[in-house]
Amino acid sequence: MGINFYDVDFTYDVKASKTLKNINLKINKENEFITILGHTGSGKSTLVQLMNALNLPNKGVVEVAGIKILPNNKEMLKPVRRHVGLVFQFPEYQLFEETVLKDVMFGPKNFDKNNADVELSAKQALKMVSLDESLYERSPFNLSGGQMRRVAIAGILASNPDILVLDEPTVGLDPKGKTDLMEMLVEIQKETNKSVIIITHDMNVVAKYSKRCIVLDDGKIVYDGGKREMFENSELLKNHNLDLPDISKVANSLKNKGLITFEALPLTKDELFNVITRGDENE
Amino acid sequence: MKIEFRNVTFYYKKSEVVLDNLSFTIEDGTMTAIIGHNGSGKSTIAKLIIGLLEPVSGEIYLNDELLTIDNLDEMRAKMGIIFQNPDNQFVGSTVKDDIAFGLENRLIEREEMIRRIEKYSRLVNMEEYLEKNPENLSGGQKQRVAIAGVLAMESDLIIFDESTSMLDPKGTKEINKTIKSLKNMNNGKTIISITHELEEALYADRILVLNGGKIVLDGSPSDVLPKKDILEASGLKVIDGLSLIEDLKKIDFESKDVILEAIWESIFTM
Repeated sequence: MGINFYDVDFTYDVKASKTLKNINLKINKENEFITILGHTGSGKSTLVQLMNALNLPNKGVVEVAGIKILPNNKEMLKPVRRHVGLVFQFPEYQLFEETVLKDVMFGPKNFDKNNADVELSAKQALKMVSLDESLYERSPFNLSGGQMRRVAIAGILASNPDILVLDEPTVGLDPKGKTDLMEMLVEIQKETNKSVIIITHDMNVVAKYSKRCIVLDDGKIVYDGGKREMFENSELLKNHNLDLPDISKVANSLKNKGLITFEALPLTKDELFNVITRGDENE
Repeated sequence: MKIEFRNVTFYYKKSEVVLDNLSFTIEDGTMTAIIGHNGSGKSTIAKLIIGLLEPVSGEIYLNDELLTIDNLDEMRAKMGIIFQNPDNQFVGSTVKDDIAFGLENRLIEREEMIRRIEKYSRLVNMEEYLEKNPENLSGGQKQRVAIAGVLAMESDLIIFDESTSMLDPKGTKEINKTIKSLKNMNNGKTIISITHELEEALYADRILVLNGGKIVLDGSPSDVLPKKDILEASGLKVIDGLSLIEDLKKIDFESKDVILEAIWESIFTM
């Protein structure tokens, strides 16, 4: 179960070069916290749109929840999209209903005809994104940017997908909004065991939250593994234009000045704190 | 351009005050970063300066002259603004036409126009793209063209209104580098950068932190950025490295001063 890619090629235009090349990928249904990295144009958004059949492979097979995604088979779309919920970039632009609750109910209505059930799942989803009940009957357009984004995410959660995919969920939010949103996703992941997949450019987010990193460059997967091995592989970072987390840069600069030594590159503030203070104990 | 806000209040609805009796002065030729969470009123300040909005009460003085509907056009000729979304500010079918657009509107002579297009496209490192269609550029390149367009008007005041918030890290770096080099040219231009990324405020002469329509912090980056409590209460975050310094200050360890100094330095040269 989960999502499997077998030798997948994808192109938007058969005459142009391929957007994705020979993708092989296995994503578990449960307990993943994956960040997809790569510079603009590397194929990240295209890849996640294959995960819920918004894009169909030109070659190879994408299998979602045991269902093979095939062209011209509309029957499979509903179960696939029920399995994988995709939140687009700037999802708040897609809000349209009169009230917050109605907007969140729109998605699950496609899967469930019983209005009471739909309302219940919508309310549960709104709770998961910590949106106050007093806002349910408000127009979504009178909310702050951060709140609107939460409504949009609730709209996907309300259909209760097993895997939640978000395309750059923190872009445009202020620093507190960013942290709150990431903490919320971690919380949802822990509570529901749903796998979470995030496209991001923010290495501080990767350092803090990611369990597994997938790096794309020019339509190919060039890395799939842990964040620590990735950040310690300076060759990989350089070749694919990836940045280090801010704290790791500080750590390297202290190391270069001979002020500290470390085996494992510190990725977070606490890790660097330990390196600096432990160094003292050893002496 | 010297900018002075005297007791400026602004709201759309009386019950939701955006700027609350705000007074401050920005000196000519300096770079100021105005930071605050989304909805703190920071972009409203930019809109008031360029006259897109009018204060409900209070006055705005530009070069010691009261900004009114009568001198608005004349004042606007001295300022340029770069907005958030690079896709919303293109009019030309080539980069060159786009930079020329503002100049044509001001009836600048053709030779002078060519001179400025060359000069300012070089300054933002886009001279090789002059004949290209702006639609095919990356976000960072588009914003650099927008900056060249503003520079070509030879304005005294340049406002960056969250001009990196829709860009990827590469684009953000390009724009920050451009702003930094503009500042370091010391050509007497006044720069205002409105942002919620604290990293972008590091190289300003001065930072104003806005919360609830009021200025809650005002000072140099090294004064303002370590103030954890006020920044957090304002919906902002302390940069990880500075927060580390605060944590380390509380305990004793070998070569403390040297290490703290080195962390500080590495943040400002990142």
